[in-house]
Amino acid sequence: MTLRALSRRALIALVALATPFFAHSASAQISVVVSASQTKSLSEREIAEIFAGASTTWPDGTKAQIIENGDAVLTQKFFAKVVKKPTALVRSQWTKLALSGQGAAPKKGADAAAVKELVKKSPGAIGYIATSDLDDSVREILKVP
Amino acid sequence: MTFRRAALVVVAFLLLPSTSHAQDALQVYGYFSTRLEKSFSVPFANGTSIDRESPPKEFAQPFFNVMMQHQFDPHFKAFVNLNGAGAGNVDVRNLWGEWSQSNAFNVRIGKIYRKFGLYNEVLDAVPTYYGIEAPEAFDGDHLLISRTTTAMVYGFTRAGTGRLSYSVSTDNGEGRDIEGTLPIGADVNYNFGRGSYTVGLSGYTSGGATNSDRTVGSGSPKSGVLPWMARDSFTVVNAYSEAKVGAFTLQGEWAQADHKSQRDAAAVVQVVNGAGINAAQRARFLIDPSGAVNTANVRLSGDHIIRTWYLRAGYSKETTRGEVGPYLQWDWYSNPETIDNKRFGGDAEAGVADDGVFNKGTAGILYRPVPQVAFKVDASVHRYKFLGRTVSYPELRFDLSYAFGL
Repeated sequence: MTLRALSRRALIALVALATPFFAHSASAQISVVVSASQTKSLSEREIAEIFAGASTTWPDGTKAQIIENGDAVLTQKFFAKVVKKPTALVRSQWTKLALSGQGAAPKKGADAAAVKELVKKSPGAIGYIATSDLDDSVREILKVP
Repeated sequence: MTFRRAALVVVAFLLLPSTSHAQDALQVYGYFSTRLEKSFSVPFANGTSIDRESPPKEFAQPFFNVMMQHQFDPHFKAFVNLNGAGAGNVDVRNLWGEWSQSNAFNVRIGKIYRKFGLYNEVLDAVPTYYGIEAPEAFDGDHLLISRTTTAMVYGFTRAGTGRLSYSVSTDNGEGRDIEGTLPIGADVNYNFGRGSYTVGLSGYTSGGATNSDRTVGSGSPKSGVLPWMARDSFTVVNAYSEAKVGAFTLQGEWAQADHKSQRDAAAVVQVVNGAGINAAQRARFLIDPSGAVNTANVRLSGDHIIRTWYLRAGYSKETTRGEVGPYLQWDWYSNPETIDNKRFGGDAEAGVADDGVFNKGTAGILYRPVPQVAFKVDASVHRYKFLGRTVSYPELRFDLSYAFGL
């Protein structure tokens, strides 16, 4: 076997090994989550408005705290399906609200565990994780297929 | 404001959490930015002919904006926005406290950017919007109204499939002579389509006659009244819309300011003698433009209307190397009363035109290699009437900003 053929096989093997990780995010169902102690819910439209930066509060006036998920593929899918806008535009709108004092700066959890932790301890928090990462520490208010 | 006073504001703000239970509710963030501008072949009058020169580039020393926001409890929050230019000055742009009773009723007190159109509240969020220059209504050399107010009530309610928002604000008034004025600002807008579309109206009344916050010779006013006015009672009406469709952002805004004003004869004499005004401005200010320049020859009625509009479009393309955002803008502005000389309170754009009208077309590109960093480069062409001819000149701008804590 030539060195070139070996390299090609190694590359294919690497891609094959990496695919499940990306596939997990790309094909995963997404759950929008709030604190387990949060009794109120939001409609899909209200969730979209909060993540689009059009609204900075819950319907009862509580300030919304966005928790961003560090999983880039999951985030992209979530914004495309729920907010229906590119990730960069959504982030830019969050920054605009924070710099003008109109909304809180978003917090970022590196992974699902971190997102759940931030959702639990931040008043008015709303985040999103893969549905497979859901547990009793948070409450699902919307499932995104 | 000195660094010592600004530092005091910061320290006081940072101490706030220790008086509150919500220790992690203090957020500190902001951005650094620097800007380079260069105009080429700018026309100037040489007798009755037109010559051109390229003024030196303007390379702004890096400046910063630091924002601190603290949510004390579900109903009360405070915000401060400090701006530092170069190494010498720190300016408190915003400093306010807010009490929220519900979504429909919030009260904000302090130094506040008023809700007015699409840009007034977000102009300090430079890294986030398409373009480098503010829309002409909020250009620092020819503001339609002051950007800040003191007390504002605002909120929103659900209406149909969208949200109807309102705000009403008031303050001491603009100018040095504000006795008896009751200025009112208001904004109402409807946002629908999951936050994708906004249409709105803003308005302002000076609530009586006032004058400028600057005297002749002390620079451009930070309010809507020109320095050579003895009295000016004015209203501003502004209509705006925005559509964010997929990766596109489209914006349009139109504003008109109606001024019922009376000129200060002595101030006008100063302007005519010292500011280097053009023939049209001389004819506007003096009863007999070729006569003696004295207070008896000054036309006292200074009623005038300022109009401006713009269209802006941007597109966000995400690539493997970051976000690329090309944008196009067109600005139009008309102010027949202003003059060229900034030191006398004029504006080097409208004031240099024969009729106070100019157009500005801009094409540019925004690049964000990472969300925190924004490079912007754009080029404008200014077009206006000068000495009876239509002239134009180009301008290049570059802006680099880095956001932190976000």
